Amino acid sequence: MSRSEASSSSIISVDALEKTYRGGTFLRRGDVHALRGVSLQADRGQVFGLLGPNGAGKTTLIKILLGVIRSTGGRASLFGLPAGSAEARSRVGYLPESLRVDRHHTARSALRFYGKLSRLDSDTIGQRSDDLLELVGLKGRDRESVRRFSKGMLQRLGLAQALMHDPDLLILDEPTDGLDPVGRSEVRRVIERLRDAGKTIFLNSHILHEVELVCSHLAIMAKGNVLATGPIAEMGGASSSDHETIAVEMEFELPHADSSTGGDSVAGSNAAVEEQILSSAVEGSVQWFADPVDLDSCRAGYRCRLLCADRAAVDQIVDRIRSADGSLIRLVPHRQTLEETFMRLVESESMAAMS
Amino acid sequence: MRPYLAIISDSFHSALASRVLWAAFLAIWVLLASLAPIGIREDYTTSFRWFDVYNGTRMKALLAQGIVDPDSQETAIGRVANAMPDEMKRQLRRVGEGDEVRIRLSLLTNALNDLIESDATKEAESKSDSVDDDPNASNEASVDNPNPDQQAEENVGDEPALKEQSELDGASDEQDSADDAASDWYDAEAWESTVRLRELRSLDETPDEELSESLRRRRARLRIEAALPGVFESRSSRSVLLTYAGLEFPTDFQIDRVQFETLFNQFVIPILVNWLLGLVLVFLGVLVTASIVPDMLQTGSLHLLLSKPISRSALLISKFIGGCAFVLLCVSQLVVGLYLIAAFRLGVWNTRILWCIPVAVVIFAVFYSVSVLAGLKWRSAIISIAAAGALAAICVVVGVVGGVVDARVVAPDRIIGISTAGDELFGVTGGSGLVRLDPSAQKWEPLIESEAGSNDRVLRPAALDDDHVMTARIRNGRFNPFGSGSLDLIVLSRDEQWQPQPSLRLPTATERLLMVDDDTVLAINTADLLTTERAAVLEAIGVEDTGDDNDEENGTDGNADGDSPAARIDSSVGAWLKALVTMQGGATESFVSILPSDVVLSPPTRVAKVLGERSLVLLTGDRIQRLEPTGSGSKGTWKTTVRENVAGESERASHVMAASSRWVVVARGDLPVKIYDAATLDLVGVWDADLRKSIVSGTPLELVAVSEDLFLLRTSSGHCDVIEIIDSGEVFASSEPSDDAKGDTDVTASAMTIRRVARVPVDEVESMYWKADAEEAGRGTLYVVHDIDRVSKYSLLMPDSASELSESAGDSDVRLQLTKSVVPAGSVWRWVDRYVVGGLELFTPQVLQLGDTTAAMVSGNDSLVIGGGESGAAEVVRYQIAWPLISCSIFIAVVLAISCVYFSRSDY
Repeated sequence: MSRSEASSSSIISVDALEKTYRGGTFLRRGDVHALRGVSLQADRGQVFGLLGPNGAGKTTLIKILLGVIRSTGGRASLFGLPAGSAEARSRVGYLPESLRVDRHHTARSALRFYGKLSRLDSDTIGQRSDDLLELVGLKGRDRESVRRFSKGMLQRLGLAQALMHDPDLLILDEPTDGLDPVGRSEVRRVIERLRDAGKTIFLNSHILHEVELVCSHLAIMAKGNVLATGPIAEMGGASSSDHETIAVEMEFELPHADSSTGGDSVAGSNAAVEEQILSSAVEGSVQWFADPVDLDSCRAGYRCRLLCADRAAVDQIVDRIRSADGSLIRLVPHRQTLEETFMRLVESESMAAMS
Repeated sequence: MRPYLAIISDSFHSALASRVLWAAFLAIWVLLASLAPIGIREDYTTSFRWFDVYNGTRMKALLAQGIVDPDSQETAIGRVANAMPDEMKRQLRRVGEGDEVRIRLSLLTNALNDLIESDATKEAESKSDSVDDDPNASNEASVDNPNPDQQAEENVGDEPALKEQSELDGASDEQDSADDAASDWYDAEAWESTVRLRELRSLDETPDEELSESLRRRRARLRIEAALPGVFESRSSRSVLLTYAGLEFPTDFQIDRVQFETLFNQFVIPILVNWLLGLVLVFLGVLVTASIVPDMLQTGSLHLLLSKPISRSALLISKFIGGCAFVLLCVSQLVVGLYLIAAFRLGVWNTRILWCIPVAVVIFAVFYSVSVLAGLKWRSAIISIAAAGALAAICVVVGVVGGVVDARVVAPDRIIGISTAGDELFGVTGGSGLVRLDPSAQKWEPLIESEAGSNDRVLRPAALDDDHVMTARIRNGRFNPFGSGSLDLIVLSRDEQWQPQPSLRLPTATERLLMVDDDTVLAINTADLLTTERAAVLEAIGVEDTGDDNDEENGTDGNADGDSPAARIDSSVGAWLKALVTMQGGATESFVSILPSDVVLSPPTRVAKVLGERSLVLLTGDRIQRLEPTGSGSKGTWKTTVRENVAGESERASHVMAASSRWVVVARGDLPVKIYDAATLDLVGVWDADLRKSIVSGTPLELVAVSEDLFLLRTSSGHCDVIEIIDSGEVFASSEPSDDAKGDTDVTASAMTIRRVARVPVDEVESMYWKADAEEAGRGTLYVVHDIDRVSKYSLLMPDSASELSESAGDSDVRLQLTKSVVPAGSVWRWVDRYVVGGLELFTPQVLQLGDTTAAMVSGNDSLVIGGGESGAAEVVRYQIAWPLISCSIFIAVVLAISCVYFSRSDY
């Protein structure tokens, strides 16, 4: 798909986005690289989840999209417009992580205030307020001071203000953070209603379960990088990475290394097979069975969990076992959960960063 | 605009939700409620206060003379003196006998007030008695005897008490006689020889029955004032008394309505603005609003705001305006409340008071802008408040440093009066010093050292000739015309390198020296006009006068008129009485009074020499008169050739006057400038005050006649203008009161008015001196000292010579041509003042000076003149109106611009 085609349907387009926070002292620079060339794309009608641990750069990415901060490299656009421009912002509804509404407001006066900031006239604000207060379940409590609101009610009020000007894109930053299960459920229900209404939603969260429940697409971030992005259905499968890698669990046996039968040479041969298996895989490990009870006494059992680049790599591993006079006992393709995928990606990123 | 109006409104509501705000509101309401019962009551000025006494020494001497001088016993002063309490009389007698007796002014005024009281009581009793005897008696009396003075005279004549009092030592019932004397001190015949104000004459002509008690007291006070001429300050006939909930304040402070309004507008309101609004409310406002920006910067609030399609700078400015709007609400309540109290309770309907609202908001905005910047940087309300407090401290420190440097360095160097002798220029400094401009070194060379905060008074020098200048230094004379110590004329001689040399003994309380002609020196003091010969002055320093003179003729003229008070005294009384006369400011051995016997100087007094003539115009009390010598010598009493009444001239001081051979121009405060015909002293025109202010702002400080129609006018705004008397082409109707046959009927004539023909092109004129060309009338040189001590010299080019100028464009036909300008070298401290203090003031918002702006806006004047008179030592407070506003506005704009840039470029 060409860039123009992509941008015609994409709501959010981020390309090699970088952000470095300058810090430290004059003598000792302490720059923080919050984003290191992030690229992703969210299309119209998607509920796009941004998943990552604390410090992954999720909020920084959202701030850049909203124009709260400026990027130091790359480019980001909303609706094909430069991110942060007034025109782009006028089409975005935003719910901050922990919404703070001035204490002198009621729900209705807060909606009136934020509606005016979105350049709505009083009549529109009045009509929209009624609808949204009903949508978020605050009807009947709209004249109460926000001082008496629970956190869940505040978040629902936040959702209402984000929707006040009927935006084309809704950016929700940790919408259920700090809420009790009931509150989470209430907020999630509203998001699901918006999703069903066809709104494009960009949701930032570190709660995997929430993302799995409401998102159609996902990007996983860690250390300022996007580690994976795509439909959530693919993100949860064993071979669902964007490079089509295949995770397999395998058990096989090789000739046993017995000294009476020239064990030294067999042992050396088995070790070479192990190395060749690992080299064929993207990553993984091979372990020798310590207890060969069910195996022929002259053969040694191995169990391995491998991530292979493709099916040919799996075939190559099987061929190598067979060529070493081994036999395949079990080969099971392994389907990863979202959490496993997330953890695997995050850990590998951490290890890469450490190395 | 809708989003930004919403932010302003939201900020306002946010502040409105603050409890501190409601505490402020409560405090304002309590303050207004506590001020609301304040009111004023207006009544006649009847009693004397110590500060009514202009010349206490003279009062003491007059009263002493009234007691000890046998010839004065039956005069007005004698009757007043002898009616005083015994203890006071004993002290006054000792004064008369030459002892040094200190009598507190308040004791003297209390004794006089007792006389007023006794007079009023006596009148009331007599009225009561007559009513008891015959209810119709008063009516009959008024019908039978329309002249109450005559009636009073008869009553007094029946009373033996005064004679008993005059023979005090032999009195058997001293207390009774004293009481009688106290109540019968007035005698119409004795008062016939006094100079009575028009108000007193009118009251004397009114039957007692028609006078209220207040008016009778007023009459008694005026009679005492007439008996003690030259003693009291001029006071308005009516005074205001402050009341609270209908009760009078227990204070002696009595002022007239005009003074009250001046005091209220120029002191009370600015002080309220500076302290109540500028300090209390502004910092209360900072306390309340300091959290607006840090609250906005909280993550959940800021990111949401920034996600909206609004400009960051506009968001910040809207928040700023929201905070200011909140303060506007508080200040408006207070100022409108004060305005209403002033209007309804004090009768001061001055809508200019409402100017305090924007000024207070500007003061707040200065501090709030810093608070906003600190809030943006540190996101803490506490630090925001601290930053505003730090700015306030800086402003106060810079203000105090500026004030101290100004008082200690600049003020003593300020040239407040100049004069020339030949080609030499002399100046009197604000530090009571005398300086000469050294043309070679281009600096002012001190002849009498200036001293910061000096209480001395140095008279403006007057040139005896091209080589001699006279002046005088009156120790502690700044606030007391008498000063302390002996008073000698000082002569500076070219031959002695202009070093001061003591010359003749000057009359006490001398306020001004001038040359009437080449040979006659005139000394004007609080009570008299006295002359001596130039030769005598020079002789006293050992210089033989080689000029053409007619000493012999002068000698024969001297004392020729036996009516002169000094002459009378010289010929008839002993040395002890001479001393008393000297105390009163009368003649000395060398100076002889020229004042006609029927003229008494009553402050405020102004004397102007008629340009090109040997005559004087004297304005004193409510009369203007022209004095001319009876002979050609320097001695001898002069005669009054013309005398006219002037309306209201006695009500307030600080008038200035100048006389040409055609016109006498009198300017008094902010009232219309009056033009009198110099020959007849008829009022022939006025220069409307509003019209004048639109052309020449400020209060007139100095008037000098240049030619028949041209005058120089220096005003408190720091400008000097050339004005011309012109025919307005309209008929002038005058209602000036008159004693002569013309009566009070209107006089119609072609009205004269004034137009400005040129302005000296400098703004900070400190003093000026017109040196007329001896050979050609109307020609001369104008010396102007401006910007503390700079000197500019101008030639006045008249219509015939104006064509000589190449740049003859313009509609004015009189030109000022700058011929020389001198910027004298200053001291190191002046450099420090100019560059260090000036620099600090440049970069510091002039918040403290906004009090000046308020005073100017509320009063409608750009300056305040304190004092004045013949000594010309008026203190001028020139309000800085535009500069503090500009300074504060620039500061606010710069700080807000920095804040906007910071806010726009920062990551949050």
